[in-house]
Amino acid sequence: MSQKSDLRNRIIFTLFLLVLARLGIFIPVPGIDHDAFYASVEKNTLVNFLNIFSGGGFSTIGIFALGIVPYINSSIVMQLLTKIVPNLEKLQKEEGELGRQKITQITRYLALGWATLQSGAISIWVKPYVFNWNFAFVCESVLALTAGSMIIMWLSELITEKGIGNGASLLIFQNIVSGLPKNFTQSFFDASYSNASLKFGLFIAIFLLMIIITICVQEGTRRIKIISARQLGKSSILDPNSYLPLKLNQGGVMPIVFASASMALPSYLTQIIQNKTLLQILYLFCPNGSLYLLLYCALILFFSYFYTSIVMNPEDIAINLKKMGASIPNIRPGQATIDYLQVILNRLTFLGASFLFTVALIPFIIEKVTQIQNLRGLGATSLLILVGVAIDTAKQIQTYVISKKYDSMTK
Amino acid sequence: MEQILKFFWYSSTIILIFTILIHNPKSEGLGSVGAQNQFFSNTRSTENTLNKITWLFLVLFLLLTTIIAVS
Repeated sequence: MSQKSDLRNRIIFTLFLLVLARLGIFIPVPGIDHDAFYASVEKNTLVNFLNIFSGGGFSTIGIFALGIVPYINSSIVMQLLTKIVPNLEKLQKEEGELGRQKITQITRYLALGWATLQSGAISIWVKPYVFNWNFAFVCESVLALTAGSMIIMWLSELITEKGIGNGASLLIFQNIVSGLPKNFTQSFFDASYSNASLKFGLFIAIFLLMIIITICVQEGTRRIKIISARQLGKSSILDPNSYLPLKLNQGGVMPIVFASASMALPSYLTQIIQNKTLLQILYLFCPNGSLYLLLYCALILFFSYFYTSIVMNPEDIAINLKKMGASIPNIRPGQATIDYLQVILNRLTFLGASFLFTVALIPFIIEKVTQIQNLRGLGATSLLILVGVAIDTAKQIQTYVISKKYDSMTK
Repeated sequence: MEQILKFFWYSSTIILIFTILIHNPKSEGLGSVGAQNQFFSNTRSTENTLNKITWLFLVLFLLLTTIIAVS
């Protein structure tokens, strides 16, 4: 009985934190003419894109406007740095728990720096909409926005630690969901569309299809049969129950989250850079540019490989197999196994990334066929994140229930 | 009155950021999506006190910001 109520408490706690994170979006930063600001940013593509992650907080400049974005960005930077800087790599690989905690700590400081920079940029950017723009205002808004972003970061950590699921991805999840109704109304109940109900039906059908495909991709595994020493004597038939599951998409949602977060960068830069030729190059990579999809595809591929290399190390698998006295049939233990696994992992990751990209393409195609605009807002990025986070969270709840059961059995 | 309010707002915000930063989270942040969480870890007492302080300043920050924004 107690284990049930414990799970319930965790879920209630998580929901409470999510509500809190949502509430803060509507507490405005003091001193801004919010009506004028809201009217002017509604058409801005960059703001709309940033809204995906911050749940509309960006266009209202609430105190949680930055949301989890600084933390995600600093995570990306740290993940890349651990591959480049030898000291950090040592921390992550050799010093175990303590080293990883140090890296987390550095990531948090980096998030603080990022949040300060970003909120500084915002406070200068909103100058036309401020009643009384002066140094005090800049200080206050930087402080308010930075604190908001830090609060969100802390809430996400609390969810991961004391709630259920991964805090950061749940917050992104909530922000995307909160944007859905607005997107729907924009797409379908606009007066300029004829036979909206037919298009709505078609849309729902494609939406469901995409969810199914996404689930298949996220859950797909390649089962590599393994054979252990104690099986050998009994029969020559391999036990179908012993296999090594390699996921098609090792990184889960993270490649998409990281890729789409990086995709915001060119749009950012267009706001800062004045140089004409540079601007023209950058516009190619903005959401309506011709090279946008190419860059998106490349980034998804890159982050998929990158994440697989972090999560799955063929050398470790080979060593573990050897320790268990197991091996892959017809493959020698040691170097041969490592090579074999590496080849399979590479192929799987390529396939997985291509799938992800294909799903990412579907909204563009629908838009061309049905002429429904605004689909991109809730496009593949959001959908993949939604499905991925939902699956992850559901799995964690299941794991939690099972581990509690084992725990009570041993008592 | 407004000056006092602002003063409290500034100090609570700075203390809040500071307290959040000295937290030492066990979770690995975004890097470990899908990885097993440590469910059975006992939080140390210092972490508990820190949590309470952080909550206090968080509520204070939200309240003061709302009051300043409304007035």
